[in-house]
Amino acid sequence: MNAIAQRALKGEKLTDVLIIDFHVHLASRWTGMHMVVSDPYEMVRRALAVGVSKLVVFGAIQPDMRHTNDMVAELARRYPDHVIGFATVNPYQVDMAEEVRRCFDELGLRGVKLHSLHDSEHSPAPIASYREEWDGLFAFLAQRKAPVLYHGIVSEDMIRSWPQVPFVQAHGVSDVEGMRRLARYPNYHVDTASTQNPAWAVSRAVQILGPERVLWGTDAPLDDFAQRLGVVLDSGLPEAEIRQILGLNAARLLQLQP
Amino acid sequence: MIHPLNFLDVNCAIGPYYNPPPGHDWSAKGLLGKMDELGIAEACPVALMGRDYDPWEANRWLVANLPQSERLHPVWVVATHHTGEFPAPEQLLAEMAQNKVRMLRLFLSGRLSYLDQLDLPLLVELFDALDEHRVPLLIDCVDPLLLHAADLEPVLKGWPHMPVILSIPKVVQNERWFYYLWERYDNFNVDLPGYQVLGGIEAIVKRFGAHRLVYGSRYPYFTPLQSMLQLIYSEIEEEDKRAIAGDTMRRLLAEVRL
Repeated sequence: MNAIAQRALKGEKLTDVLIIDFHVHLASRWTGMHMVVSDPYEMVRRALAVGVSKLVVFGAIQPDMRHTNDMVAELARRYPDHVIGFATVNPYQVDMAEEVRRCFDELGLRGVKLHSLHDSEHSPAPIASYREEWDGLFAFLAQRKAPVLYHGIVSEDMIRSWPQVPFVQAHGVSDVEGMRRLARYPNYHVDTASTQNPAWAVSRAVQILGPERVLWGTDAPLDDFAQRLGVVLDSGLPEAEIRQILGLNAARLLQLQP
Repeated sequence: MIHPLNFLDVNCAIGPYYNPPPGHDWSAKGLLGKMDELGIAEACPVALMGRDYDPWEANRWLVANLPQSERLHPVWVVATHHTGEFPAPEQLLAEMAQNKVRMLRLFLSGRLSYLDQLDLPLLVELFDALDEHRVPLLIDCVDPLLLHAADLEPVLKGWPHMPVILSIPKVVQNERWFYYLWERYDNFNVDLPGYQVLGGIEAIVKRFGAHRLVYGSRYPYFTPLQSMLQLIYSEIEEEDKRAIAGDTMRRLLAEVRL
Protein backbone atom coordinates (compact mmCIF):
# COMPACT_ATOMS: atom_id res chain seq x y z
CA MET A 1 0.00 0.00 0.00
CA ASN A 2 1.29 3.46 -0.85
CA ALA A 3 2.20 6.05 1.77
CA ILE A 4 -0.77 8.31 0.98
CA ALA A 5 -3.25 5.49 1.58
CA GLN A 6 -1.52 4.60 4.84
CA ARG A 7 -1.94 8.17 6.04
CA ALA A 8 -5.55 8.26 4.90
CA LEU A 9 -6.25 5.15 6.97
CA LYS A 10 -5.10 7.16 9.98
CA GLY A 11 -7.58 9.88 9.10
CA GLU A 12 -4.86 12.42 8.38
CA LYS A 13 -5.81 15.54 6.48
CA LEU A 14 -3.83 15.15 3.27
CA THR A 15 -2.75 18.77 2.95
CA ASP A 16 0.67 18.05 1.44
CA VAL A 17 -0.85 16.17 -1.51
CA LEU A 18 -2.32 18.34 -4.25
CA ILE A 19 -5.90 17.08 -4.47
CA ILE A 20 -8.18 18.74 -6.99
CA ASP A 21 -11.72 17.49 -7.40
CA PHE A 22 -12.51 18.06 -11.07
CA HIS A 23 -16.20 17.15 -10.84
CA VAL A 24 -18.27 18.98 -8.23
CA HIS A 25 -21.81 20.22 -8.66
CA LEU A 26 -23.06 23.34 -6.99
CA ALA A 27 -24.86 21.81 -4.01
CA SER A 28 -28.59 22.42 -4.10
CA ARG A 29 -31.72 20.51 -4.93
CA TRP A 30 -30.83 18.01 -7.61
CA THR A 31 -33.34 16.91 -10.23
CA GLY A 32 -35.64 15.50 -7.58
CA MET A 33 -32.98 13.52 -5.75
CA HIS A 34 -32.50 13.75 -2.01
CA MET A 35 -29.37 15.71 -1.09
CA VAL A 36 -28.12 15.40 2.47
CA VAL A 37 -25.67 18.27 1.89
CA SER A 38 -27.48 20.86 -0.21
CA ASP A 39 -25.55 23.88 1.08
CA PRO A 40 -22.53 24.65 -1.14
CA TYR A 41 -20.59 26.21 1.72
CA GLU A 42 -21.01 23.10 3.85
CA MET A 43 -19.92 21.01 0.88
CA VAL A 44 -16.69 23.02 0.49
CA ARG A 45 -16.03 22.81 4.24
CA ARG A 46 -16.30 19.03 4.11
CA ALA A 47 -13.92 18.80 1.14
CA LEU A 48 -11.30 20.94 2.85
CA ALA A 49 -11.60 18.85 6.03
CA VAL A 50 -10.47 15.78 4.13
CA GLY A 51 -7.59 17.60 2.44
CA VAL A 52 -9.10 18.39 -0.95
CA SER A 53 -7.41 21.68 -1.78
CA LYS A 54 -9.38 22.77 -4.85
CA LEU A 55 -12.80 22.00 -6.28
CA VAL A 56 -13.99 22.55 -9.84
CA VAL A 57 -17.60 23.59 -9.26
CA PHE A 58 -20.37 24.04 -11.80
CA GLY A 59 -24.13 23.99 -12.03
CA ALA A 60 -25.60 21.73 -14.71
CA ILE A 61 -28.37 20.29 -12.56
CA GLN A 62 -30.25 23.50 -11.86
CA PRO A 63 -32.90 24.66 -14.32
CA ASP A 64 -31.78 28.30 -14.71
CA MET A 65 -28.24 28.21 -16.10
CA ARG A 66 -27.48 31.90 -16.08
CA HIS A 67 -28.55 32.29 -12.46
CA THR A 68 -26.59 29.15 -11.54
CA ASN A 69 -23.43 30.50 -13.16
CA ASP A 70 -23.84 33.59 -10.98
CA MET A 71 -24.12 31.36 -7.91
CA VAL A 72 -21.00 29.42 -8.88
CA ALA A 73 -19.14 32.70 -9.25
CA GLU A 74 -20.32 33.78 -5.81
CA LEU A 75 -18.97 30.56 -4.29
CA ALA A 76 -15.64 31.03 -6.10
CA ARG A 77 -15.41 34.59 -4.78
CA ARG A 78 -16.02 33.29 -1.26
CA TYR A 79 -13.26 30.67 -1.61
CA PRO A 80 -10.75 32.18 -4.07
CA ASP A 81 -8.02 29.70 -3.11
CA HIS A 82 -10.21 26.63 -3.22
CA VAL A 83 -13.08 26.94 -5.70
CA ILE A 84 -12.59 27.14 -9.45
CA GLY A 85 -15.87 27.90 -11.15
CA PHE A 86 -16.96 26.45 -14.48
CA ALA A 87 -19.79 27.86 -16.56
CA THR A 88 -22.64 25.66 -17.65
CA VAL A 89 -24.22 26.58 -20.96
CA ASN A 90 -27.55 25.38 -22.12
CA PRO A 91 -28.11 26.38 -25.76
CA TYR A 92 -31.86 26.47 -25.27
CA GLN A 93 -31.51 29.28 -22.75
CA VAL A 94 -28.56 31.41 -23.79
CA ASP A 95 -26.20 32.30 -26.59
CA MET A 96 -23.45 29.91 -25.56
CA ALA A 97 -20.47 31.96 -26.71
CA GLU A 98 -21.84 35.15 -25.21
CA GLU A 99 -22.66 33.48 -21.89
CA VAL A 100 -19.21 31.92 -21.66
CA ARG A 101 -17.60 35.26 -22.42
CA ARG A 102 -19.68 36.81 -19.61
CA CYS A 103 -18.77 33.99 -17.24
CA PHE A 104 -15.03 34.21 -17.97
CA ASP A 105 -14.56 37.96 -18.26
CA GLU A 106 -17.13 39.25 -15.78
CA LEU A 107 -17.49 36.40 -13.30
CA GLY A 108 -13.99 34.87 -13.36
CA LEU A 109 -15.06 31.33 -14.28
CA ARG A 110 -12.38 29.21 -15.97
CA GLY A 111 -13.93 26.33 -17.84
CA VAL A 112 -17.19 24.91 -19.19
CA LYS A 113 -19.46 22.02 -18.25
CA LEU A 114 -21.77 20.52 -20.88
CA HIS A 115 -24.45 18.07 -19.77
CA SER A 116 -26.79 15.79 -21.66
CA LEU A 117 -29.51 16.83 -19.23
CA HIS A 118 -29.89 19.88 -21.45
CA ASP A 119 -30.48 17.84 -24.57
CA SER A 120 -34.00 16.98 -25.55
CA GLU A 121 -35.71 15.16 -28.34
CA HIS A 122 -38.56 17.63 -28.06
CA SER A 123 -36.42 20.58 -29.05
CA PRO A 124 -36.41 21.89 -32.60
CA ALA A 125 -32.65 21.37 -32.85
CA PRO A 126 -31.28 18.69 -30.53
CA ILE A 127 -27.77 19.45 -29.33
CA ALA A 128 -26.55 16.20 -30.80
CA SER A 129 -27.30 17.62 -34.25
CA TYR A 130 -25.26 20.79 -33.67
CA ARG A 131 -22.24 21.40 -35.85
CA GLU A 132 -21.33 25.03 -36.55
CA GLU A 133 -23.45 26.05 -33.55
CA TRP A 134 -20.47 25.03 -31.40
CA ASP A 135 -17.92 27.11 -33.26
CA GLY A 136 -18.33 30.34 -31.33
CA LEU A 137 -18.06 28.56 -28.00
CA PHE A 138 -15.04 26.45 -28.87
CA ALA A 139 -13.21 29.25 -30.64
CA PHE A 140 -13.45 31.18 -27.40
CA LEU A 141 -12.25 28.23 -25.32
CA ALA A 142 -9.41 27.50 -27.74
CA GLN A 143 -8.20 31.06 -27.43
CA ARG A 144 -8.21 30.77 -23.63
CA LYS A 145 -7.00 27.13 -23.65
CA ALA A 146 -9.83 26.50 -21.19
CA PRO A 147 -11.11 22.98 -20.49
CA VAL A 148 -14.53 21.46 -21.13
CA LEU A 149 -15.95 18.81 -18.81
CA TYR A 150 -18.68 17.00 -20.72
CA HIS A 151 -21.36 14.47 -19.90
CA GLY A 152 -22.66 13.23 -23.25
CA ILE A 153 -23.14 15.76 -26.06
CA VAL A 154 -19.51 16.05 -27.25
CA SER A 155 -18.63 14.10 -30.36
CA GLU A 156 -15.32 12.80 -31.70
CA ASP A 157 -15.59 15.48 -34.38
CA MET A 158 -15.50 18.22 -31.80
CA ILE A 159 -12.50 16.74 -29.97
CA ARG A 160 -10.62 16.40 -33.26
CA SER A 161 -11.60 19.84 -34.53
CA TRP A 162 -10.50 21.75 -31.43
CA PRO A 163 -7.12 20.34 -30.39
CA GLN A 164 -6.33 23.40 -28.30
CA VAL A 165 -9.33 22.70 -26.05
CA PRO A 166 -8.80 20.07 -23.32
CA PHE A 167 -11.88 17.82 -23.25
CA VAL A 168 -12.61 15.79 -20.10
CA GLN A 169 -15.26 13.09 -20.34
CA ALA A 170 -17.22 13.05 -17.10
CA HIS A 171 -17.37 9.56 -15.50
CA GLY A 172 -15.20 8.44 -18.44
CA VAL A 173 -12.98 5.87 -16.71
CA SER A 174 -15.66 3.24 -17.26
CA ASP A 175 -16.13 3.98 -20.95
CA VAL A 176 -13.61 1.47 -22.31
CA GLU A 177 -14.83 1.71 -25.89
CA GLY A 178 -14.76 5.51 -25.80
CA MET A 179 -11.30 5.66 -24.25
CA ARG A 180 -9.87 3.26 -26.81
CA ARG A 181 -11.43 5.18 -29.68
CA LEU A 182 -10.45 8.64 -28.47
CA ALA A 183 -7.04 7.89 -26.97
CA ARG A 184 -5.42 9.10 -30.20
CA TYR A 185 -6.42 12.70 -29.38
CA PRO A 186 -4.01 14.22 -26.85
CA ASN A 187 -6.68 16.69 -25.73
CA TYR A 188 -9.02 13.87 -24.59
CA HIS A 189 -9.18 13.07 -20.86
CA VAL A 190 -11.50 11.23 -18.46
CA ASP A 191 -12.54 11.71 -14.84
CA THR A 192 -13.22 9.13 -12.14
CA ALA A 193 -16.57 10.47 -10.87
CA SER A 194 -19.52 8.16 -10.08
CA THR A 195 -20.30 5.74 -7.28
CA GLN A 196 -20.00 2.90 -9.75
CA ASN A 197 -16.45 3.54 -10.91
CA PRO A 198 -14.26 1.08 -8.99
CA ALA A 199 -10.53 1.19 -8.30
CA TRP A 200 -9.71 -1.28 -11.06
CA ALA A 201 -11.45 0.96 -13.62
CA VAL A 202 -9.00 3.73 -12.69
CA SER A 203 -5.97 1.53 -13.34
CA ARG A 204 -7.56 0.26 -16.56
CA ALA A 205 -8.07 3.86 -17.72
CA VAL A 206 -4.39 4.55 -17.04
CA GLN A 207 -3.45 1.52 -19.14
CA ILE A 208 -5.44 2.94 -22.06
CA LEU A 209 -4.75 6.67 -21.76
CA GLY A 210 -1.66 6.93 -19.59
CA PRO A 211 -1.57 8.52 -16.13
CA GLU A 212 -1.53 12.08 -17.42
CA ARG A 213 -5.07 11.98 -18.85
CA VAL A 214 -7.05 10.62 -15.89
CA LEU A 215 -8.43 13.15 -13.40
CA TRP A 216 -9.95 12.60 -9.96
CA GLY A 217 -13.56 13.70 -9.57
CA THR A 218 -16.29 12.85 -7.08
CA ASP A 219 -19.66 14.05 -8.37
CA ALA A 220 -20.12 15.70 -4.97
CA PRO A 221 -22.46 16.44 -3.30
CA LEU A 222 -23.82 13.12 -4.55
CA ASP A 223 -20.79 11.21 -3.32
CA ASP A 224 -18.53 11.40 -0.32
CA PHE A 225 -15.07 12.92 -0.88
CA ALA A 226 -13.11 10.46 1.28
CA GLN A 227 -14.94 7.49 -0.17
CA ARG A 228 -13.95 8.49 -3.69
CA LEU A 229 -10.34 9.09 -2.66
CA GLY A 230 -10.17 5.41 -1.77
CA VAL A 231 -10.85 4.47 -5.38
CA VAL A 232 -7.62 6.11 -6.55
CA LEU A 233 -5.52 5.33 -3.47
CA ASP A 234 -6.18 1.57 -3.80
CA SER A 235 -5.94 1.45 -7.59
CA GLY A 236 -2.58 -0.32 -7.42
CA LEU A 237 -0.88 2.47 -9.34
CA PRO A 238 2.52 3.88 -8.33
CA GLU A 239 2.35 6.85 -5.98
CA ALA A 240 3.66 9.22 -8.63
CA GLU A 241 0.76 8.32 -10.93
CA ILE A 242 -1.72 8.60 -8.06
CA ARG A 243 -0.48 12.14 -7.46
CA GLN A 244 -0.97 12.94 -11.14
CA ILE A 245 -4.56 11.70 -11.02
CA LEU A 246 -5.41 13.33 -7.71
CA GLY A 247 -4.31 16.81 -8.70
CA LEU A 248 -1.31 17.40 -10.94
CA ASN A 249 -3.20 16.66 -14.16
CA ALA A 250 -6.03 18.99 -13.19
CA ALA A 251 -3.54 21.71 -12.24
CA ARG A 252 -2.03 21.45 -15.71
CA LEU A 253 -5.39 21.71 -17.49
CA LEU A 254 -6.44 24.61 -15.28
CA GLN A 255 -3.11 26.38 -15.90
CA LEU A 256 -2.51 26.73 -12.16
CA GLN A 257 0.83 28.07 -11.03
CA PRO A 258 2.91 25.48 -9.11
CA MET B 1 -1.81 -4.41 11.80
CA ILE B 2 -5.52 -4.31 12.57
CA HIS B 3 -7.09 -0.87 12.21
CA PRO B 4 -8.15 0.66 15.55
CA LEU B 5 -11.79 0.88 14.43
CA ASN B 6 -11.81 -2.95 14.26
CA PHE B 7 -13.52 -3.32 10.90
CA LEU B 8 -15.74 -6.29 10.12
CA ASP B 9 -16.64 -6.46 6.43
CA VAL B 10 -20.24 -7.61 6.14
CA ASN B 11 -20.36 -7.46 2.34
CA CYS B 12 -17.63 -9.30 0.49
CA ALA B 13 -17.42 -12.26 -1.84
CA ILE B 14 -14.96 -14.87 -3.00
CA GLY B 15 -14.95 -17.75 -5.45
CA PRO B 16 -15.10 -18.14 -9.19
CA TYR B 17 -17.53 -15.99 -11.10
CA TYR B 18 -18.39 -15.14 -14.67
CA ASN B 19 -16.86 -11.69 -14.85
CA PRO B 20 -14.43 -10.96 -12.00
CA PRO B 21 -12.49 -7.69 -11.96
CA PRO B 22 -9.28 -7.91 -14.01
CA GLY B 23 -6.36 -9.45 -12.15
CA HIS B 24 -8.52 -10.31 -9.15
CA ASP B 25 -7.50 -13.18 -6.87
CA TRP B 26 -10.88 -14.69 -5.94
CA SER B 27 -9.54 -17.14 -3.39
CA ALA B 28 -9.94 -16.88 0.39
CA LYS B 29 -6.22 -16.22 0.47
CA GLY B 30 -6.77 -13.23 -1.80
CA LEU B 31 -9.41 -11.83 0.55
CA LEU B 32 -7.22 -12.36 3.60
CA GLY B 33 -4.35 -10.65 1.80
CA LYS B 34 -6.50 -7.59 1.12
CA MET B 35 -7.73 -7.60 4.74
CA ASP B 36 -4.14 -7.72 6.00
CA GLU B 37 -3.08 -4.94 3.64
CA LEU B 38 -5.81 -2.58 4.89
CA GLY B 39 -6.02 -3.77 8.50
CA ILE B 40 -9.52 -5.26 8.34
CA ALA B 41 -10.09 -7.51 11.35
CA GLU B 42 -12.88 -9.81 10.17
CA ALA B 43 -15.04 -10.47 7.15
CA CYS B 44 -18.25 -12.28 6.19
CA PRO B 45 -17.57 -13.70 2.71
CA VAL B 46 -20.16 -15.30 0.47
CA ALA B 47 -19.47 -17.42 -2.62
CA LEU B 48 -20.37 -15.15 -5.50
CA MET B 49 -21.39 -17.96 -7.82
CA GLY B 50 -24.55 -18.19 -5.72
CA ARG B 51 -25.89 -15.03 -7.28
CA ASP B 52 -26.52 -16.19 -10.82
CA TYR B 53 -25.39 -19.81 -10.96
CA ASP B 54 -26.43 -22.10 -8.11
CA PRO B 55 -26.96 -20.96 -4.49
CA TRP B 56 -26.56 -24.38 -2.90
CA GLU B 57 -23.49 -25.28 -4.93
CA ALA B 58 -22.04 -21.93 -3.94
CA ASN B 59 -22.59 -22.72 -0.28
CA ARG B 60 -20.94 -26.12 -0.67
CA TRP B 61 -18.02 -24.44 -2.43
CA LEU B 62 -17.64 -22.05 0.48
CA VAL B 63 -17.61 -24.90 3.00
CA ALA B 64 -14.89 -26.65 1.03
CA ASN B 65 -12.75 -23.60 0.32
CA LEU B 66 -13.02 -21.24 3.28
CA PRO B 67 -10.15 -21.88 5.72
CA GLN B 68 -10.88 -22.20 9.42
CA SER B 69 -10.15 -18.75 10.76
CA GLU B 70 -11.56 -16.64 13.55
CA ARG B 71 -11.42 -13.75 11.11
CA LEU B 72 -13.72 -15.27 8.49
CA HIS B 73 -17.44 -15.84 9.09
CA PRO B 74 -19.06 -17.73 6.23
CA VAL B 75 -22.25 -16.34 4.74
CA TRP B 76 -24.53 -18.55 2.70
CA VAL B 77 -26.64 -17.58 -0.24
CA VAL B 78 -30.30 -18.27 0.34
CA ALA B 79 -32.94 -19.26 -2.22
CA THR B 80 -36.47 -20.59 -2.21
CA HIS B 81 -36.94 -24.31 -1.57
CA HIS B 82 -40.20 -25.19 -3.30
CA THR B 83 -38.63 -26.85 -6.34
CA GLY B 84 -36.23 -28.95 -4.27
CA GLU B 85 -33.17 -27.10 -5.62
CA PHE B 86 -32.48 -25.64 -2.20
CA PRO B 87 -33.01 -27.10 1.32
CA ALA B 88 -36.22 -26.34 3.17
CA PRO B 89 -35.77 -23.91 6.08
CA GLU B 90 -35.54 -26.56 8.79
CA GLN B 91 -32.82 -28.46 6.97
CA LEU B 92 -31.08 -25.21 6.01
CA LEU B 93 -30.87 -24.11 9.65
CA ALA B 94 -29.47 -27.50 10.65
CA GLU B 95 -26.81 -27.31 7.95
CA MET B 96 -25.97 -23.75 8.97
CA ALA B 97 -25.46 -24.84 12.57
CA GLN B 98 -23.26 -27.70 11.48
CA ASN B 99 -21.11 -25.40 9.33
CA LYS B 100 -21.08 -22.43 11.74
CA VAL B 101 -22.93 -20.17 9.33
CA ARG B 102 -24.69 -17.32 11.14
CA MET B 103 -25.77 -15.04 8.33
CA LEU B 104 -27.51 -15.34 4.96
CA ARG B 105 -27.52 -13.29 1.80
CA LEU B 106 -30.44 -12.92 -0.55
CA PHE B 107 -29.66 -11.71 -4.05
CA LEU B 108 -32.39 -9.80 -5.86
CA SER B 109 -31.42 -9.44 -9.46
CA GLY B 110 -34.29 -7.54 -11.06
CA ARG B 111 -34.07 -9.99 -13.94
CA LEU B 112 -34.62 -13.65 -14.58
CA SER B 113 -32.78 -15.50 -11.83
CA TYR B 114 -33.58 -17.28 -8.55
CA LEU B 115 -35.40 -14.25 -7.20
CA ASP B 116 -35.97 -11.29 -9.46
CA GLN B 117 -37.85 -9.44 -6.71
CA LEU B 118 -38.85 -9.76 -3.05
CA ASP B 119 -41.61 -12.27 -3.72
CA LEU B 120 -42.86 -12.54 -0.14
CA PRO B 121 -45.16 -15.60 -0.29
CA LEU B 122 -42.17 -17.69 -1.35
CA LEU B 123 -40.16 -16.52 1.65
CA VAL B 124 -42.59 -16.78 4.56
CA GLU B 125 -41.38 -20.15 5.87
CA LEU B 126 -37.76 -19.11 5.53
CA PHE B 127 -38.28 -15.80 7.31
CA ASP B 128 -40.20 -17.55 10.11
CA ALA B 129 -37.14 -19.73 10.71
CA LEU B 130 -34.65 -16.87 10.50
CA ASP B 131 -36.74 -14.74 12.87
CA GLU B 132 -36.92 -17.56 15.41
CA HIS B 133 -33.14 -17.98 15.33
CA ARG B 134 -32.33 -14.24 14.90
CA VAL B 135 -30.30 -14.85 11.77
CA PRO B 136 -29.25 -11.63 9.99
CA LEU B 137 -30.24 -11.40 6.32
CA LEU B 138 -28.29 -9.25 3.88
CA ILE B 139 -30.55 -8.28 0.99
CA ASP B 140 -28.34 -7.52 -1.98
CA CYS B 141 -30.28 -5.55 -4.54
CA VAL B 142 -28.33 -4.32 -7.55
CA ASP B 143 -31.27 -2.51 -9.13
CA PRO B 144 -31.91 0.73 -7.19
CA LEU B 145 -35.50 0.94 -8.38
CA LEU B 146 -36.44 -2.63 -7.51
CA LEU B 147 -37.17 -2.16 -3.81
CA HIS B 148 -39.33 0.38 -2.04
CA ALA B 149 -40.76 0.80 1.45
CA ALA B 150 -43.83 -1.15 0.38
CA ASP B 151 -41.65 -4.19 -0.31
CA LEU B 152 -39.58 -4.10 2.85
CA GLU B 153 -42.07 -2.88 5.44
CA PRO B 154 -43.96 -6.20 5.64
CA VAL B 155 -40.65 -8.00 6.16
CA LEU B 156 -39.43 -5.69 8.92
CA LYS B 157 -42.82 -5.62 10.61
CA GLY B 158 -43.59 -9.32 10.23
CA TRP B 159 -40.21 -10.66 11.38
CA PRO B 160 -38.87 -8.11 13.90
CA HIS B 161 -36.13 -10.43 15.24
CA MET B 162 -34.58 -10.97 11.83
CA PRO B 163 -32.02 -8.17 11.30
CA VAL B 164 -32.15 -6.96 7.71
CA ILE B 165 -29.07 -5.39 6.14
CA LEU B 166 -29.90 -3.71 2.88
CA SER B 167 -27.24 -3.17 0.22
CA ILE B 168 -28.11 -1.21 -2.90
CA PRO B 169 -24.81 -0.22 -4.50
CA LYS B 170 -26.31 2.20 -6.95
CA VAL B 171 -28.48 4.14 -4.54
CA VAL B 172 -28.26 7.66 -5.85
CA GLN B 173 -30.30 9.70 -3.46
CA ASN B 174 -33.63 8.11 -4.26
CA GLU B 175 -33.54 6.74 -0.71
CA ARG B 176 -36.16 8.86 1.01
CA TRP B 177 -37.95 5.65 1.89
CA PHE B 178 -34.96 4.54 3.99
CA TYR B 179 -35.88 7.29 6.46
CA TYR B 180 -39.44 6.01 6.74
CA LEU B 181 -38.15 2.54 7.61
CA TRP B 182 -35.40 3.75 9.96
CA GLU B 183 -38.00 5.70 11.91
CA ARG B 184 -40.18 2.65 12.44
CA TYR B 185 -38.08 -0.52 12.46
CA ASP B 186 -35.07 -1.31 14.63
CA ASN B 187 -34.20 -4.29 12.47
CA PHE B 188 -33.55 -2.15 9.37
CA ASN B 189 -29.85 -1.58 8.63
CA VAL B 190 -27.99 -0.34 5.57
CA ASP B 191 -24.40 -1.09 4.60
CA LEU B 192 -21.94 1.60 3.61
CA PRO B 193 -21.31 0.67 -0.04
CA GLY B 194 -25.06 1.11 -0.37
CA TYR B 195 -24.86 4.57 1.17
CA GLN B 196 -21.99 6.58 -0.30
CA VAL B 197 -23.81 9.87 0.15
CA LEU B 198 -21.83 12.96 1.18
CA GLY B 199 -22.83 13.70 4.79
CA GLY B 200 -24.96 10.58 4.94
CA ILE B 201 -23.22 8.91 7.86
CA GLU B 202 -23.45 12.02 10.01
CA ALA B 203 -27.11 12.58 9.17
CA ILE B 204 -28.17 9.02 9.94
CA VAL B 205 -26.15 8.73 13.14
CA LYS B 206 -27.56 12.00 14.43
CA ARG B 207 -31.14 11.12 13.67
CA PHE B 208 -31.36 7.35 14.12
CA GLY B 209 -28.17 6.22 15.85
CA ALA B 210 -24.95 4.56 14.69
CA HIS B 211 -26.42 1.08 14.87
CA ARG B 212 -28.41 1.66 11.66
CA LEU B 213 -25.32 1.56 9.42
CA VAL B 214 -22.78 -1.25 9.08
CA TYR B 215 -19.45 -1.37 7.31
CA GLY B 216 -19.20 -3.46 4.18
CA SER B 217 -17.01 -3.22 1.13
CA ARG B 218 -18.67 -5.00 -1.77
CA TYR B 219 -15.27 -6.57 -2.42
CA PRO B 220 -14.07 -7.59 -4.97
CA TYR B 221 -15.94 -5.09 -7.17
CA PHE B 222 -15.18 -2.17 -4.86
CA THR B 223 -12.01 -1.76 -2.87
CA PRO B 224 -12.63 -2.09 0.88
CA LEU B 225 -10.71 1.16 1.27
CA GLN B 226 -13.62 3.21 -0.16
CA SER B 227 -16.05 2.66 2.68
CA MET B 228 -13.25 2.56 5.26
CA LEU B 229 -12.23 6.10 4.36
CA GLN B 230 -15.85 7.26 4.24
CA LEU B 231 -16.19 6.15 7.87
CA ILE B 232 -12.73 7.19 9.06
CA TYR B 233 -13.19 10.77 7.82
CA SER B 234 -16.84 11.05 8.93
CA GLU B 235 -17.55 13.69 11.53
CA ILE B 236 -19.02 11.47 14.26
CA GLU B 237 -17.84 10.23 17.65
CA GLU B 238 -15.18 7.51 17.78
CA GLU B 239 -17.57 5.17 19.58
CA ASP B 240 -20.09 5.55 16.76
CA LYS B 241 -17.39 4.85 14.20
CA ARG B 242 -16.53 1.63 15.99
CA ALA B 243 -20.18 0.62 16.05
CA ILE B 244 -20.49 1.07 12.30
CA ALA B 245 -17.07 -0.45 11.58
CA GLY B 246 -17.93 -3.73 13.24
CA ASP B 247 -19.32 -3.67 16.77
CA THR B 248 -22.97 -3.65 15.69
CA MET B 249 -22.47 -6.55 13.33
CA ARG B 250 -20.55 -8.52 15.95
CA ARG B 251 -23.46 -8.07 18.34
CA LEU B 252 -25.96 -9.23 15.72
CA LEU B 253 -23.88 -12.31 14.95
CA ALA B 254 -23.51 -13.08 18.67
CA GLU B 255 -27.29 -13.00 19.08
CA VAL B 256 -27.86 -15.76 16.52
CA ARG B 257 -29.33 -18.88 18.13
CA LEU B 258 -28.63 -22.03 16.15
